[in-house]
Amino acid sequence: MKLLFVIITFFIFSFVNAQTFTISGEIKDVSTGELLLYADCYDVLSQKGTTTNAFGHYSLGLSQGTILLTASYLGYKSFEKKITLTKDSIINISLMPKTEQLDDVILNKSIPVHKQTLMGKITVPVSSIKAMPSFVGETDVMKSLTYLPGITGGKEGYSNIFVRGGDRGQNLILLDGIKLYNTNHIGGMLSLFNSDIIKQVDLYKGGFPSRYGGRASSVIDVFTKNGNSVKTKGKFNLGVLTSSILVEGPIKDKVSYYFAARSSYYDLFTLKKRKIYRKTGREGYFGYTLFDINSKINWRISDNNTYSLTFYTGHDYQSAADEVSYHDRSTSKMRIHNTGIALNQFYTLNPKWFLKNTLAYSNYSNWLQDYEKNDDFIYEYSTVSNINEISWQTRFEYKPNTFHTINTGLETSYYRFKPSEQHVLLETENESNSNNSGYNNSIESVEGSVYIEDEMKISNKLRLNLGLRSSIYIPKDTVFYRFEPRVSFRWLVNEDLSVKANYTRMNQFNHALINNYQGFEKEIWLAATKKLIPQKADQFSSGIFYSKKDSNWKFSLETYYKVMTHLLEYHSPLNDEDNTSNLEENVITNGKGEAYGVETQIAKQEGRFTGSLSYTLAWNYRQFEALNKGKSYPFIYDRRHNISLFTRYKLSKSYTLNSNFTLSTGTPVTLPEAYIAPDANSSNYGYFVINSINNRRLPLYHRLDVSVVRTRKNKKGNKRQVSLNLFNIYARQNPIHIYYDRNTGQIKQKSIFSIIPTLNLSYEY
Amino acid sequence: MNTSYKAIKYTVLILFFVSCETEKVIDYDTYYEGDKIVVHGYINQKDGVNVIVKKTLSPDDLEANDVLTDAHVYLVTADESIELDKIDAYLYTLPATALEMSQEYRILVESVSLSSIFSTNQSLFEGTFIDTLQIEEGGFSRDLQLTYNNPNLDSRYYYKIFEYFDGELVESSEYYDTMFDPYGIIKPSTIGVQYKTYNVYSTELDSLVVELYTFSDDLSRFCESFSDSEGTSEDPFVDYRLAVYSNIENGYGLFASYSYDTKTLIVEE
Repeated sequence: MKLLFVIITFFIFSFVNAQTFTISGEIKDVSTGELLLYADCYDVLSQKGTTTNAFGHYSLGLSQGTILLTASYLGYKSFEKKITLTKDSIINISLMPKTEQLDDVILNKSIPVHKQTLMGKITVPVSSIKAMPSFVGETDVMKSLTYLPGITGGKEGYSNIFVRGGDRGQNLILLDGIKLYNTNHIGGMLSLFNSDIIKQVDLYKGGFPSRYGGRASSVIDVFTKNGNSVKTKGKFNLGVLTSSILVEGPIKDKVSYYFAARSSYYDLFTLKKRKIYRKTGREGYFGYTLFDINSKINWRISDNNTYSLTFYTGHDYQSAADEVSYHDRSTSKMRIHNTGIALNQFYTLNPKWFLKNTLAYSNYSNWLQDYEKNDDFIYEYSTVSNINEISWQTRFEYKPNTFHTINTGLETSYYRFKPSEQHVLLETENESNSNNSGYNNSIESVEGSVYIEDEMKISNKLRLNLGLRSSIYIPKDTVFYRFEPRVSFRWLVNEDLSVKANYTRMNQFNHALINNYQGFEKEIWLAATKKLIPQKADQFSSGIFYSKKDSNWKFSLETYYKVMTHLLEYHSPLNDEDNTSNLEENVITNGKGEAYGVETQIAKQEGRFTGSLSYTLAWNYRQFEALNKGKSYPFIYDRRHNISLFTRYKLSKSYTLNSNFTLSTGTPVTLPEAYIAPDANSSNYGYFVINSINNRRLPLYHRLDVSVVRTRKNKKGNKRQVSLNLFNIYARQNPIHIYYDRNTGQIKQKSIFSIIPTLNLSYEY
Repeated sequence: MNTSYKAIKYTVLILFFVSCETEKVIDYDTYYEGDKIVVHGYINQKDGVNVIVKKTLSPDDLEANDVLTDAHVYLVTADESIELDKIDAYLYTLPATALEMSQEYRILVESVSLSSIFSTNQSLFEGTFIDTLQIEEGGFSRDLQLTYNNPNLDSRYYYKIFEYFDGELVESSEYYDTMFDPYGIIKPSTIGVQYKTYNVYSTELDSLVVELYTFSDDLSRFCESFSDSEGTSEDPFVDYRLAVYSNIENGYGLFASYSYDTKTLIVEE
């Protein structure tokens, strides 16, 4: 009761303004014009400070009189200016990059993490992502996130991420406000994010702000650059798997843009074989092409009104043909397609009110086809699955004073699904049969959400973030209402150390089912229905955070407990036609998930030597009534121990040595506990007995990746970079599967990747 | 340009060479829970009860002896239990005359050396009847058209076809002398009349005997899970591996009912 009185009193008095004025503005990079997100802004005299928000703006309420305003951002020279404050003022700040530290790695830069109210959030600048040794020479945003505590990568070489026991379909992935339903090239071996256009990645493992919703496990909010508003720049990148080009620059004073394209060229080597196949049917081939295009136009209409239009499209196309006789043909093809467009408006209504409007469209589709033709018949089987979304988001940020930052807004989305349409054609000399099955009709649904959150500074030590999100989801046969409370608090023990805790609830209305097609992952998105009830995740987490002032070292220790309900799984994990022809019948519903663990990280953020050491101790279980006799079993990506060590050492002005070592418990695997021989006097089959799913574990997983990067600049400032990447330097054969060979009675392991050396060249002008 | 092309080509080739899938034998501690009784048994109003009884083997020793020498096998109803006749080291039977349509039956196996096992109850039932049988003459082949009426989507079927000439069996759809091939299960996707086409192999035949089997739920689940389990056993990309369904408590295997309808088609020249 006493606490309630204190809170109510705080609410009443905190909105009563003293004689204060507001200074506001934006902080940007002077050389590129890029707005700097979460840059620090601080009055030394009153010791009051803030950071720029996700729009690059800051707003700070200060008392009348003289102030000493400073602004800083890691890798930039600090700004400092004495100002006499007599009225509300707009002060835009430009920071100069420290050229001698241009290549310094920044592991994590934002307001010191121990001072933030929210926990479970990690801000990853692109410089940090680019510093990691890469797989086949491709810098990959998603793969770099798997080295953070609490995040598990999927199968070796794949870009999927699993956050605190969640599934890969439970990650909300946003690209400038575009909700992405598939983030993979080559079935997951490469993510669709082109690192050249990314400014920053915000990852939330827990403590989700109420402005985010719709997924159960995590939020990955990717911000792209606005394009260089000072001068035209370009970059070429030549890699083994893909090559890319980037052009960015200003168009007159108020408009900037970037255009980036990336493509593979493996298919060039199959052109000859394809030609022979088309003519003769001989020379079977396997072809694969991927490409993506990213583009953005940023139009600063006035100082307080900016529009940006982001466009993304990505394609994967696989085709394979078997060698046949002259007139016959036998081919299989697969096409995966993603497109997203977002129109964003950033409007500063006044120094205390910010508005962001987003109109976005997102499309994901995959298509498979098997085709066979001979003298007797033509057979064609094809299946297509897609999802289209049009969404509108309006978000207000209101900073009435230094005690409150209020975010409120609404979102609405219209979805159109075609989960799985199948088409079979059989044509002979005499007849032609064509049959459509599966979900031939599109399914539509609408989702609407309103939210409000208040980040409250109750005292210098205590901060509280209270939020509520309310959603309505209208699919074909019912209506779902959901409420999601979010609570976070931070207690600053002293200037360097804080304690935090939070509780969040997330609901997920659209379900993702993931199947494998010849090792390529294939997502099918489904709307919630009366049978497929929305998934729900409740998460509690707490932690201590230490960050010594004026020191580059930081330390964190977090614990979490997460319960997930209404999870889905296929009856059979096999990619057979039954799974996709009648999805609702072939899906197991009402699954439960339980995940808990401890995560810790120590990191050095700046200097000649930088790096981080992360350790996660985690438990992750699933329970379905129809699987494993209804008993709980370890989830396939349950890894008890996970250690990741990332180091970067600047050998000289030009050379940098990066390394990344990963060591983790092997993933669970199901091994038989007994064998039943074929019946005597019969030719039937023997089989193995499995009493429980995921009853054993693969051997320990460990790998060391190293890269050496040489960076040189000429007098004009053009940058050339050559990097040699050695993936899995000691050629460890990490198993991705083990099984009994019934012919020999031996246990065999399958591995995919050995040492992979790659060379990358890039040139920036 | 030509040099660059070659450099890229060879780099790609090296990349694919070093990243190819490998397979090797590893030393891994296996776990075997000890011998347990296994039953593969079927009950039907025409064929009676046929049960194969044996024991499990360690996954490390697949060629070991699986005969259970001291088994006693009983068919148990609510009122009584009848011991089955031992035919050979594995097979135990009971004639159809001992069965009643209205009863529910389960199997009980007792052994001195191993723990007793029992199955879930099975009911005898009347299955789906064959509606029509006819031969369709094609350009190069002869097809047998079989129709039957499927009452619901949960039903599962299986068929055996025997081709006769001069009273002798000349061809059969059954390549194995097993009871059912788990991969041959038929799962209709629609309710109502079902058409099944079978390519007739024999050039000379005078009659065809068709048996259409209707599976009980337990038998369907066993066959479906068998093929799914096999499919997932060596696939590294599946998220979990499926177990073969069993309705035997304290042991493994299956005791299940089925029903079948037989029709003979006289083939005219």
